[in-house]
Amino acid sequence: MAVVVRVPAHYEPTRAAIEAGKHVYTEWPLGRTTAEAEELAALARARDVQTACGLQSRVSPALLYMKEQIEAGFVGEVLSCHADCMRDGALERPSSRTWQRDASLGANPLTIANGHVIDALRFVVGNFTRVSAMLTTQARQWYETDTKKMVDVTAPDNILVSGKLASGAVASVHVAAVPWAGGGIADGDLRARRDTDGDRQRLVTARRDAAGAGGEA
Amino acid sequence: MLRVQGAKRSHELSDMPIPDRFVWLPPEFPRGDPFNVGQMYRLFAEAIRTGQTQSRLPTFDTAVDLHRFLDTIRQSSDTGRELPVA
Repeated sequence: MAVVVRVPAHYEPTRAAIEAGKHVYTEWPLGRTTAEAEELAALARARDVQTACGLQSRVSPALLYMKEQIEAGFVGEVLSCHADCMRDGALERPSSRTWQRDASLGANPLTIANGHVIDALRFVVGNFTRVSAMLTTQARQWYETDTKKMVDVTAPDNILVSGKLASGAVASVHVAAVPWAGGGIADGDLRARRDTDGDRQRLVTARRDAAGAGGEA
Repeated sequence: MLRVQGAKRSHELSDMPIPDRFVWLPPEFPRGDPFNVGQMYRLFAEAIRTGQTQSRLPTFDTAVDLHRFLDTIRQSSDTGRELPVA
């Protein structure tokens, strides 16, 4: 069984599937909260069913290759790494799509975009041992296009994480949903970049060919 | 699809072709966003067929670990402190 409904509704059908003895694939985030995810994982173990959770960076051919190359010593000892992903954050949505503003429902840039990006970094370079973070909500209200009301946002839209990995490398991650950040067609988007990349022996996954979203690790 | 670039003893990054051994889907499977999800389903099918947990397949345990890490991130932001990751 595959559970591909909205995040706050993952728990019920996933639990029902396990209790019926079905193998179950649930999209990431597994639960609305860690407690929900822990309960589902424990139940699946007790019932001896196969599980999968949609953290698909871990099966990306590019990232599997990067991980292999790093483990084989392509860059030597990894000293430092960075991942970022800055995407368009809608300021206007229909009321059917504004539920994600509620941080307690567990489907927001912290859990989804940052969840996938930071999981990719952990998969390729290794787990964090120490972490320091700043979460902020920069776009504090959204406009509901059908009700014509402004609604408050409690979910974070900017996630800044720095830390140390088990390997001793340091890492920084910035994931954000920012109005008008999409695809290089932004109003007021400035970038400065060196013509040539001066870093020696650096291994990066480049940006997606078409989209403006960054995918460096 | 992501592409990988690398440089060794050089300032020039160049494309590193991704070996076929990481591709578990047939050539007619669409490239682009659905691709990695297809890879997931392939491994999940293998797990069901064999009854064996596939080491490369992210499971509910992988998810719990990430949920806990995100809690630590949240807690660090709330307290303004650097925290150890369990």
